[in-house]
Amino acid sequence: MKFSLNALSEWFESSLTPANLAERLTQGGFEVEAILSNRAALAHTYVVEVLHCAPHPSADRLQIVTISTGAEQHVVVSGAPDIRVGQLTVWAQPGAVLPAKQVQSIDIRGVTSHGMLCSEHDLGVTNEQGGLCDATPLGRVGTCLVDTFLADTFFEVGVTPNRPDAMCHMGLAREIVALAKARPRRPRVVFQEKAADVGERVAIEIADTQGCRRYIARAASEVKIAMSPLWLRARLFSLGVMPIHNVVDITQWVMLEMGQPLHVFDLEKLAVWQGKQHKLTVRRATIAESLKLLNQQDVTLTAQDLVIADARGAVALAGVMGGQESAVTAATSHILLESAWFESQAVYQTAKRHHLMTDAANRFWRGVDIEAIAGASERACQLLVELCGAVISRGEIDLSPKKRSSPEVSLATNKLKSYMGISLPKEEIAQHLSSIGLTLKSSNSESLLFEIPSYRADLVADVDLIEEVVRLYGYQHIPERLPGKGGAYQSATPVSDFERVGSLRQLLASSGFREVIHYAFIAPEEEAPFRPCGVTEPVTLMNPMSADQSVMRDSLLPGLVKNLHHHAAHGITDLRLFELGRVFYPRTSQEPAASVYDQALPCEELRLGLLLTGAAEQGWGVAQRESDFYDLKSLLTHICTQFGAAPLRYETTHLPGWLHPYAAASLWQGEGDQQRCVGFAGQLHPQALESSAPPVWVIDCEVQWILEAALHATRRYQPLNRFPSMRRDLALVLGCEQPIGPLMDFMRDYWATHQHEGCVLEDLQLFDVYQGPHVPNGHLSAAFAFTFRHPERTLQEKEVQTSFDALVAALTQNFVVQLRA
Amino acid sequence: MSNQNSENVNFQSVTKQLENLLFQSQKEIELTVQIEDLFNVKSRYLGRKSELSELLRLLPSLEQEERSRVGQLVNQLKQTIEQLVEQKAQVLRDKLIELRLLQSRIDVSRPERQNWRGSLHPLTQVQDRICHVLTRLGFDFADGPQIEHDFYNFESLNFPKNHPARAMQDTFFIHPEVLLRTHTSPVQVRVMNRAKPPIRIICPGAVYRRDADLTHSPMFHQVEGLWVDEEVSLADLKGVLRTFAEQMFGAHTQIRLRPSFFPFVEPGVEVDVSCLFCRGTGCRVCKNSGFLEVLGAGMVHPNVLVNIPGATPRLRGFAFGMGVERIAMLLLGVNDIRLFFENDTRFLEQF
Repeated sequence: MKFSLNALSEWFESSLTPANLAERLTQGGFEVEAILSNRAALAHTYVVEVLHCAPHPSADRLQIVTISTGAEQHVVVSGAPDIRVGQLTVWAQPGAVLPAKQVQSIDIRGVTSHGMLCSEHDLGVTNEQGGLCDATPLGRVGTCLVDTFLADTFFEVGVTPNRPDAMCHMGLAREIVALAKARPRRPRVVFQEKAADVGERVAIEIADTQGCRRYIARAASEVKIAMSPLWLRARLFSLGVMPIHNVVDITQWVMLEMGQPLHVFDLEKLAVWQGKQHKLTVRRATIAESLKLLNQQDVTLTAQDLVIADARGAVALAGVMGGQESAVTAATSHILLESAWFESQAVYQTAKRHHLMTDAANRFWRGVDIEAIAGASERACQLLVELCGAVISRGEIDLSPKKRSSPEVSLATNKLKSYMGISLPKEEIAQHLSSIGLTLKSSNSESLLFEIPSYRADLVADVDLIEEVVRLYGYQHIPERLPGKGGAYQSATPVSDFERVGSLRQLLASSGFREVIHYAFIAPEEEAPFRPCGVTEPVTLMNPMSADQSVMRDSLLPGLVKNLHHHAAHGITDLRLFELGRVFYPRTSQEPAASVYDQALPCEELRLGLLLTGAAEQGWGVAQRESDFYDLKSLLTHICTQFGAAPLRYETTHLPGWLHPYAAASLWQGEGDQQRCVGFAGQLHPQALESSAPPVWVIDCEVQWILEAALHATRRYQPLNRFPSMRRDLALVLGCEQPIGPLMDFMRDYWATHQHEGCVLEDLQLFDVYQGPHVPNGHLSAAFAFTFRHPERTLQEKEVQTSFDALVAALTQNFVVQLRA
Repeated sequence: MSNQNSENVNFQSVTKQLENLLFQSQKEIELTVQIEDLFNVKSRYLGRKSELSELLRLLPSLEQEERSRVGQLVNQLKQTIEQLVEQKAQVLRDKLIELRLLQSRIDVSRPERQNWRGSLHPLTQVQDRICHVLTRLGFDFADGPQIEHDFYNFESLNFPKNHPARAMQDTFFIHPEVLLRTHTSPVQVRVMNRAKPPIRIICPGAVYRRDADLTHSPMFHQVEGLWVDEEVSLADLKGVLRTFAEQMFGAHTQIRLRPSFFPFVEPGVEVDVSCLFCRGTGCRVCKNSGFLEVLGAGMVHPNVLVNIPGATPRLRGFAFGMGVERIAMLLLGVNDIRLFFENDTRFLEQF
């Protein structure tokens, strides 16, 4: 919220500079986000008198004006209408830097204009740009505007929601008094009450005592609606409020000054009740009651809406906005001034229901000081007399259905000590708290009892008082200490998921993949193609920032594919990316939840998404090869080995539609009943990509099985075999449709199930796959390397050869394969 | 060779011959370039059929005294030739090695091979660093869902329904009661529900608020810390945060606590650290204040501590939270938060 230092200063005296005051406020919990001043803009502007005015010889709408600054005279060309000789206005001399322009001495159609004559808008003090600024209120001819009431400093203050009392100049000034040890001032509010008793003109009834705890009404007559004086318009404008006319401006200003939203009714437009009197009732609306508001909006009310009603029906939405019917107009002369306390939730619900979060509603929602409303009403009356010539009726109607009492809070000194880490004498505690308006009611050896002022409704418990003491004492005086005792929270696992996920990240990064972090919300059309099997619809946001961020991802692939397109658009086609992130699915009734609250939540799962496309290896001197499935497989095996997981099984069944049906696999863990599909690896279906780019290889898999494996992995040392090994190579020609995996399984099984005098097939590698000349069409040649070893002795050439020949013979019997010549 | 008249041998002629042999062998060794030739030279001068052997056969015809002198001279000559051969052999071997090394010379100025290089996302790197410092201070990891129930995200954290404090965190809703968590604080409550004090946890993770500009992202990351025990005070909070700030931003980093408001703590503070760029003297980054706002913190509100089953009145706690993006932007000099989520590899490869 923006504050005027001129207005604040009416409430305190201090010799501190604006910067120092701002620093005190910031340190006291009211962060001054910006200090602004209009002094530079007003620096070279002066009150001048128009001495002479003549039409410009070569421009119809321009005047040549001679002005006097008292000491000197200047000739200025002006396009303003209605320039009168003898009038006081404002002249900006060459060199002045106004908000919208830099003033210079310039030639305008053959006449040199020395500076310019200014409207209020030119000066940046109001939005009035019709004519020249009337400088009468600014002082004598020759006065520099920096020395007038227009010159001001503004604080942009972040007022936290617990401190609605500081959302007005009076309230923030109260804080300045306490924080900067300034001397408080209280502006005098005096006005005469001349007209008939207010009670003769109006009656008030509070029918809903829950929604309205206090209502003060005053009446005034002979109100003259006009433009507000410059000081008020300038002040409102500088604080972001557009001046309208004096009555509205007064209510707006009193709200900014004292925090109390006010409302003014045109008394004569209210329904007459019993003779010449009017009656207003504060009540809930009747069902389907309607009201045309000040902003021309027609609202249909509900039985929850708190309204002010006359005999005919609702005339205002209490605390939110007045009705059009009873609004003050240029013809108004009799008014009713409302200063009331409406209950926060009643106002909030109404404002929310009708989308009318007005400044007034916002203030009632946050909380208004019930004791300050009389003062605000009086201040408004004072201004009505001064600025509108109003005649105020005698007395006020002040209805307060419930007795108001001041809350008291007790503070135990040892509790304060336990929070601060040091103890303070009771006198010091009392002194700090009394500086912000608390009254010490009683004290004993252990605690102090304070009465809380009505404007500090946020102080309800002892911890609230502790905060105030610490704030006023100063955090810089709190000692620093490192807690010496207390154990750590006992986590369920010796190594947290975070650390294991971290290891997985490291592994992927060191395998050449770049980690990406994408938004968890995506566009529905990005989500649909990759929706996991079993998910019928994505988790959808009620209030997304935009349509393309409106559903929660249920797969990491949309993000990776979008990233792929992003890079393709920048000509980058070789990519290796991964993301370890959460995906979200609606909860089905079968899935267990930890609590009733969790039952309402969607399911979340950490997954690994990985994308690989383009050259397998980069750089000079390496063979050109495109990335392929076996790069994915190699990585998955690396993960399994590193994390101690069982080897994955690769099946060509269960493939989702976004995968190439013949270039992908589902990934399986576990045996028999325990077997589970943990994810997929393979080529993205070419149709899932917009472009016909080179193949894109992806992994989409669960992470939990990896983390589990890491947690339970046990590794035992295997003695190293010191005897020499023996290698045999075997090249087979086989049909392209013959999968190689089963061949190798057969080789291993055969060796394992046949006696070879203890000779072990230690390793079996596929070391070459070849298609081309010398291999028949539709066939390929696969070369295998066998490593044999005996644990206890050196192998003999002959024994290995015999067994090996038997294996080859068994192979050719069981598979359609031929030995390659 | 001139020893046909071996019968006429005399001492002078023998010594003369030996000198000649020395001279000749020296010359020949010197001229040899192949190591194999060198050994031929050696056997030619010292072998069984060498001139020297011939000479030795004449020795018996000499006088006793002369014989022993010639014997010495012959031995000297033998040794000298052997030494010369050995020296020359060493030179030739060195040359050979040098030649082989030279042949395998590489061009170190040639650029490295552009192998695939992976990296961790800058946010991960910064988050890891934050967590590393905090785990060393004794905090353990805790986690919770990102789509939260209103109860955990607000209600149990002392944000009553329709309270103005909720307006501070513009929320994404899935359902009126279910939302994207606006902070990592709900994890505090989840841990409190099931743990017995002392509690000392950090909760890193993604959070969501409806806000987007150069420094605000609708999804961002927080790391939150919670310490609950009897007799922990603001002094402990200051100690922990000061230690954290020093380890995170460098020795001598100062911290400054300012009163602020978060419903789940009372007292609540904003924590500024002395500007890492100007060390507190004032610069553009800290807007001349000398301090940077990086953390929120406070003493856990009693209304939140009640989430601990069987909490005693003596129980105290402090909590603090920080935005990973904010710290990453400061540490890495990133001026547009969106870069973190665009994931352009040209951005990622810088870290």
